[in-house]
Amino acid sequence: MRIVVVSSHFPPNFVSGGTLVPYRAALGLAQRGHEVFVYAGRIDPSSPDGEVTEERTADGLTIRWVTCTSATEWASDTNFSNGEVEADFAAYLQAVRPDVVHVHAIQGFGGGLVPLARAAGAAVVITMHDLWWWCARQFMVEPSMHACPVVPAAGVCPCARDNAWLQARNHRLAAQGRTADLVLTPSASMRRILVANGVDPARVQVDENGVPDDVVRVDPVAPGSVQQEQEQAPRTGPLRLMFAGGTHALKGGPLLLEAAARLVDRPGWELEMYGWEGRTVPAHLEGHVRFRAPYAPHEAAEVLAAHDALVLPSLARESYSLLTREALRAGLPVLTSDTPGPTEAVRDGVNGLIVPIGDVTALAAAMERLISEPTLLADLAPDRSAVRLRTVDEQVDANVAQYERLLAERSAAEAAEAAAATLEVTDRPLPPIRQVLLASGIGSAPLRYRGRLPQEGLALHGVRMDVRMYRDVDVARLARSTDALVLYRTPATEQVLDLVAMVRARPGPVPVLFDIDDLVVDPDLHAEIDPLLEVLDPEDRRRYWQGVRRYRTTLESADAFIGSTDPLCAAIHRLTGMPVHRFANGVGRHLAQASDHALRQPRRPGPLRIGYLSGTNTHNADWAFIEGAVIDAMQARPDLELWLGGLLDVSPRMDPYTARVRRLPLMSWLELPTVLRDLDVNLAPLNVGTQFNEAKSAIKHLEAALVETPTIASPTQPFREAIRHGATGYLAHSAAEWTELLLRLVDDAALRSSMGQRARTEVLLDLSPALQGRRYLQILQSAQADVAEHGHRPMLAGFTPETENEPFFRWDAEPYEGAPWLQAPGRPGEPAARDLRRIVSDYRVSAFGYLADQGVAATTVKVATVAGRLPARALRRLAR
Amino acid sequence: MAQHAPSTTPRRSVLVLTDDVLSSSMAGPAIRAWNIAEVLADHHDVRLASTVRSEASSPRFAVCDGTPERLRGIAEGQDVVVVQGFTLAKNPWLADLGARVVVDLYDPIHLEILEMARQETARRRTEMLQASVRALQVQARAGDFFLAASERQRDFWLGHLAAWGRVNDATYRQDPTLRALIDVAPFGIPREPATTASPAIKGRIDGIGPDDVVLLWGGGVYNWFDPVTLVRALGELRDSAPAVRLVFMGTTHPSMADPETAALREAVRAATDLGLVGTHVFFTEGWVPYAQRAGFLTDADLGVSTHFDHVETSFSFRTRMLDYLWAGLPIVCTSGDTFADLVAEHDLGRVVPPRDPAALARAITELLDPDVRAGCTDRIAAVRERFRWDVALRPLVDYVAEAPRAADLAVRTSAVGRAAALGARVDDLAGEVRRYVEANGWQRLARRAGQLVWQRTRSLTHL
Repeated sequence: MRIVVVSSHFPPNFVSGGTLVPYRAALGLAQRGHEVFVYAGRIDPSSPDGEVTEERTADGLTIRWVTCTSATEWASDTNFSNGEVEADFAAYLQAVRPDVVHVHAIQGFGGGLVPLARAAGAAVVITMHDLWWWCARQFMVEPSMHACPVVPAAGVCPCARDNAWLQARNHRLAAQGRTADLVLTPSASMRRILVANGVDPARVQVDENGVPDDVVRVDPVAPGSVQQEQEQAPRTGPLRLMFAGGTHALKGGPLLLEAAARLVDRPGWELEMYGWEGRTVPAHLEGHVRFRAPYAPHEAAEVLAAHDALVLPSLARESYSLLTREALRAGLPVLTSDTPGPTEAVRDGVNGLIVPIGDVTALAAAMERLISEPTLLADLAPDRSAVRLRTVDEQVDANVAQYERLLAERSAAEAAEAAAATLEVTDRPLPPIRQVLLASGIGSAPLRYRGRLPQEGLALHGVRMDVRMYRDVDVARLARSTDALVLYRTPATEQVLDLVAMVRARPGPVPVLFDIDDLVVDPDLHAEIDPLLEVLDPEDRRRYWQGVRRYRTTLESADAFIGSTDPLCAAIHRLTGMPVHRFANGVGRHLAQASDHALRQPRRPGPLRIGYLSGTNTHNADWAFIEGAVIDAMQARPDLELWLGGLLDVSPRMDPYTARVRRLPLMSWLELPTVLRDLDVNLAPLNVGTQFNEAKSAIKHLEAALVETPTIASPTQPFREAIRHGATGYLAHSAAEWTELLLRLVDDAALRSSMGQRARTEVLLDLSPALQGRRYLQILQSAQADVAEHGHRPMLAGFTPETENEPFFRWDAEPYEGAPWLQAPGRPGEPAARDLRRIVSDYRVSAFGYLADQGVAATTVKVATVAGRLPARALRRLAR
Repeated sequence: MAQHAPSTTPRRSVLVLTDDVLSSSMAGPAIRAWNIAEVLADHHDVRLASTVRSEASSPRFAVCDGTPERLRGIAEGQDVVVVQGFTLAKNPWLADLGARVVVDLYDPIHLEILEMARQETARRRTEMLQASVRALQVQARAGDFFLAASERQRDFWLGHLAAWGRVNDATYRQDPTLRALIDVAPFGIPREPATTASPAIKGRIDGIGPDDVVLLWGGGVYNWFDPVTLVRALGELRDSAPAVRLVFMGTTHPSMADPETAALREAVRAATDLGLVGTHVFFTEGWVPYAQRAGFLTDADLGVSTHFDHVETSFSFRTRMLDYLWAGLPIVCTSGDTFADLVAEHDLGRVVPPRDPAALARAITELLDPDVRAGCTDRIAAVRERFRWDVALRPLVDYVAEAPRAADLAVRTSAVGRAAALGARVDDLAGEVRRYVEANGWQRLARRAGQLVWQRTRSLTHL
């Protein structure tokens, strides 16, 4: 095979764990007899950007070096879109004519190289060693060292310039990245992040970094051996912690020192920080902390053997961590921040401890546990033989197999295409779904979750969804050309049924789906639901039940059902027998961004708060279920406040606590995160045991999770699915459990922090807009395939419809827009004036970090380089 | 102008408006609007709206609520708006939305008013007539394209348009035949033939047996009709042709709470006086739903329509006659209108002079012969094709395919054109004020001046 390996950073010009991977891969491929061409970037301030040289190395590699020094600056547009490099690469591809192009680091070259490689006819593989494709700063840490959400589209992170610039950049890169045949990433947890950010899960595989044989240097100890028993014996001397991440703030060294400072009064521990030689240990840490020179690779085993635990408090999203694996193989538990690479190998409470990224309190608390709990270290002693390091040879062999598979698939596809051109094709592929119409019977939050979020997600996959109110006159026009019709909570009307009939009469397989997120289509649930409607007047109750019958009519006219929860889908399937599809309520970009913004604001001063934001007044029974538990908690913690949102009626038992109860007015959904962020514990009670409640979704957890507020919920199926009990929230079965768990969270700030951060990460990774859009599209495709194969489901078969006559008019759906306070003025890509102070602050933080890391001379050069790039207009603004 | 709308023509958004009720029981204006929507929906995105009440639905187009507070919402952004009757006069802003305006003049409303308001006071009659003329003027001023129901009507409307300045150098240069300005689109009949799925007369109405010969009066009994002569003819036939039955199908207009029913009352009285009610003459109450009228038509043997001889007759287009054609019913009718000419020319039945019961009785007697009726039915089958809605409305379909701005209205977008239009409006307003003062006096004008100015300011600014 002719293989081009692309990496904008490459040894010996730039040596790091990340650059060694393409280097070793290129060597391994060449050793296997493949023709390998390296297209490498060179960092060299002394030569102009774009300068090209060719080199044939002693170890047999042909390297084309392209200088891209300034383009590697994160804030530079050329970092992700470099026309000069693209032109050179296109010519290079013409000359080399590769079978495979394997792209590694590409910052400074730009994403445009990927579609170019694809256009040149090569199979294209990208290894994503970090998160550059979504984060210009690669590691999802802001200049202020604030960790970004794992899905940048769901955040307001300013990244290297500003959020609008980041979103525009990412939009462009996403389109370019989609042209790759295969995406590789070093760990499963990284893979999960990539998928959440929109990479097709069918095209992304884990490709663990290979380690050369001479680097696989720490031998595991057999379980049950004398050595292991010695290691598991209770510790007698001080706890010996080690840190080896160097001095860059991204690696968390300063954070670790801050945590250590909180433990200075505790005896019995010491911390050695490698790579910090030449610096002075702060006076208050003397006696506990020692700064050491970095150790050589061959010294690793010895260094690890001299310690009891490894601390890895990185702020960055690490894609892999060799050190973590080496430590575990050496028998050291690992205390790590919750970052993908390390947590791939570390299990919280099993072979280490995991703390939230950037949470100094949690880090200090975890260190304290190691110090103060005598048996904890032994309990966490890892199974050394369970950690296996992959060799470079294994990785290269796997890569070769992947290349061969891609080329074989390509040949097969071309052969099939050629055959299709000459033979009569009987099984024509289904038409692509490009345009979807959702007609909604309801607005506000329900429409946002069931209409706007799918719309947002589908757009990320190139599918346009028109969201209209069901009586809006545009519905009739759009239905004529839609590829799928979704009726969300649409009551049956003569017009709706005519619309469905028209769509069903269209020649193509256009599926009609009915979506609803509550079990309000079953008139037989009268006995269960009617008591909940006592707050309504008789006319409203009559209308409610008429609505139920009309919803059912629409449902019975559809081909398939989309429901928000499994119990709901199961109930609908039982009722109708129609195909059902689960589409959970997910994360919307605007709410996520408002939440990210709220998270960045300081918590409103005041006592600890628990809160229940019920919304409508149909939740009195749910509240009644936990009222006693809340009273117990408030009695036990006299400072505890209760915040109640919505139209909830509390019982007179709450009277003694009135002064500590705050009633919140109904608020805009974009203001909700601010309130949730000020809560310390979010309550989501449901009267368990009713079909209706069992079918309700878990958005109360989702919304709180987005601002890292932990939730205690009733254990209905959706909450059981959404919450990992004890990890991302709590599920309380009884009043006693509610009280106990409430107090546990109220009393433990570190627990709240870790639970909240984990809840947010899980929610983003499970329900991101890109993932949700892909799921929705798959549902539509499945429904389309059903219709193509079996025809439309009989309309209203055996069902007596109930409809109203409701002619169309212009009925605009509520706009779906982000919080106005997050809309940056100015042109895309141009920093807003109001953000200048923040930008200056970010530059200052970066400069000091650089100074600490690289010294005065390098920092001076860096400052000059950066200043030279600052646009004149930005300088003028700064001057003003 | 293209003769047919090819499938490659741009898909336009078209709003069809009617002031009539859209429901399962529709009268002429709504039926026509409905079928315009049906035919245009083959090529375009169509919205059909009633400014009164919309209670129908179609899988082919959007039936909309066009009541005042919602009309603007559905009208904005349309390429073409098709209006009839008083719609534009009540909503003059419709002409200012940038859409092409098609004015359907199939119904000479001012001539109808002359007869319909016969029972009103002279002052009220004048007001009603002025309102209808003003409505026509508004339409004449704003229309890009006009439809008449017959060539005779087209001549009539050309006179109006000429008088109101729309037959001018620009429109003449656009098309010397002026077909680009006004063309003929008669009332039509459905593509599908009338079926006999559920007969509604014989054996269903007490007193009418399966072997009786049924004459059907297929619509409302308005004051310009002459049902009394027909009832008297039945009286004459009572002995010679005892099996003849006359059925008035649906006598209450669905959108008129207090219909002008003098002619109906007289017919009932005459039939009662002659002792024919319930034996030979039958009045069915209520309005027969549009979709159910086939049951009456296919169960009848003859279609009948008699009217007085006056100006409305000359220019009207009797939609019930089309129903007869649709059902293949031989026709007995009074002379003087477009359809009478058609019946006579193609021998589709018999044409009789107005107010002549004896001639009418003779004509009916001739048509009692099954062979004569069968001959008429065969000839009707050939003639009715031209009245299928998709054929009848072809000029409209062709217009919408290109939807050009009327040549003279395009000129109005210039400053000079706007000034001229403004001048014309000022003239109109001055005339309106003059008429108001004549009717109400200066004192009332002074009291209501503010309100009137407010109402009219907008129409003045809508050029």
